[in-house]
Amino acid sequence: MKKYLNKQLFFETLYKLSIIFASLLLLLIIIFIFFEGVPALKEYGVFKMLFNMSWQPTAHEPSFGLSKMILATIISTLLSLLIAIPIGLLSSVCLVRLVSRKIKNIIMFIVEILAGIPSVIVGFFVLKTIVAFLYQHFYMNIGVSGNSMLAAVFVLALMALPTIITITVKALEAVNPMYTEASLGLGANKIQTIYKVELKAAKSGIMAAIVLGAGRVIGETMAVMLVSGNAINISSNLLLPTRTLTANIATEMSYASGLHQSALYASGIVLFIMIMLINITLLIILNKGGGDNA
Amino acid sequence: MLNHPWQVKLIKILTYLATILLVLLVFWMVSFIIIQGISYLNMTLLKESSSLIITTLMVVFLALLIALPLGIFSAIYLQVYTNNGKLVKMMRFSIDSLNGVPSIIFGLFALSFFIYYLGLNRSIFSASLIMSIVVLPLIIKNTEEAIKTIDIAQIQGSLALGASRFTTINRVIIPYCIDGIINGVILAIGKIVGETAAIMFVIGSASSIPKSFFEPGSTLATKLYLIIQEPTYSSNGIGSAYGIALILLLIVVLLNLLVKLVNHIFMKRRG
Repeated sequence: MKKYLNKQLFFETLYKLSIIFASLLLLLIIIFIFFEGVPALKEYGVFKMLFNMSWQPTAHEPSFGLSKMILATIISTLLSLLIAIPIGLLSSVCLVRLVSRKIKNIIMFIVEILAGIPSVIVGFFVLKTIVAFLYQHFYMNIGVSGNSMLAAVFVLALMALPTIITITVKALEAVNPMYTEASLGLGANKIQTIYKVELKAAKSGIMAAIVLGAGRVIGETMAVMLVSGNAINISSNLLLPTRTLTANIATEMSYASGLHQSALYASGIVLFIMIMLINITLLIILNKGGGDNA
Repeated sequence: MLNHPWQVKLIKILTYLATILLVLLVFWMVSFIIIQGISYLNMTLLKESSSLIITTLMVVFLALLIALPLGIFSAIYLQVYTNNGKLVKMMRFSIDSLNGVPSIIFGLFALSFFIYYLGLNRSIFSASLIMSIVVLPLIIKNTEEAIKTIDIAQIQGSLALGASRFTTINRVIIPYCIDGIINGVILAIGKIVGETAAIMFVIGSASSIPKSFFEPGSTLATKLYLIIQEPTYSSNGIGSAYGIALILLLIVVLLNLLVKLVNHIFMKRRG
């Protein structure tokens, strides 16, 4: 019996240690990213880093302005969501309400495949199709490749779709059937019921889907790097190349050292803060909307 | 809005069109990779990529070896031992946030912590360590979801019969949620196989078959990225990239089918 109790105590301690370790990992990551990034923030100045337009890390008088890349990240995220949200919401509605269970399962499987395809492959695909197409039709004459903001937006929309669809489908399925029946009973037709009643009832779930989609898009690295052209540039012409925060880190880390490397960690801090803002927004949405679907 | 029949019709058509567009996009991507890659899927590619496949398997194995017990134990603690206190809420927020951390941040952390701070070499071992952290939230979430579906009466029954909480976990909870654990593992394998940004700074690169976990290596995904950027890295040029992309795609499809199979089998068992 004593042996048994010892074993029990051992495992209970093990469970407790595991969860403590798992929840401290985030803190450990924050500490090390800041530890590496703070020197550049201190030496170059937080304000200058956020708002200076010039990024010349290897110049004689180096400058570490991130604003163009921050803008590129924000713009590419917003534009890709502009594509992914309507397609995602409409197809979720279609899956939950308009098609048979069998077709829904098949399409959900396709969505899962899309979610599972490594981002390098998505980038490769867009590079060889969309970018090649852009090159042939718009760029050949001016002699640059088709790598551009537009291609990046397309890649990011593809990456956001599975996240948006899976969560919206769940939210729509959780809508209280009484709402639906009441709406149909009052004489609304199926489409009116879906768009005027059910989508409103699933509001918080849909918001969560969009926010999570945005999180996935902001952090996307490899696919964007392959198609965006990687030139630090921000322009209203979407056919020109651009570089996001993530791509900047991944491109320059391999040869950076000293303050330059610290500046890359500082861009990691900026990225991290953006993601944490998203997580907190999500938490607020879910806490506020928790009772909606009950 | 939606008061006229034509508006209703328009919305209905748009809804169907969006779904068709979605399916066509995925179909286009998958068929593109298959058509381009199939002609390169031969012995030359297999010989070239054997070291990549072995390295990838090594990372999968070691990362899961670390993440699996850690994840299952954490999930059990969260579901069985805790109330919904403030501390637990913070733990949950931390683990949920970890799930949303972009892989490039994991990459930065891995370089700083494993390579600079702990002084480890750029190796398969370092890559496995960071991947175990990347997939940990996935395993915790899936195990938790499975534990949540257990009929509370079964747990109460076990406790009422005099079994301790520990025995209940071992004999009732873990056997019951084995399918959730398997699902988590399959999804984690998919994530590890496709990951590039989190490991690119810490795995180094090599083209021969690694002899131990402490040697640098290249996984399928990291090598694929290198070849796309610089086709001369491979003797077959961009052709190898199509071949490797096809291998990765096949792995992803297989893993997803496996999830379906597992769910099907256990659904039957649960009745």
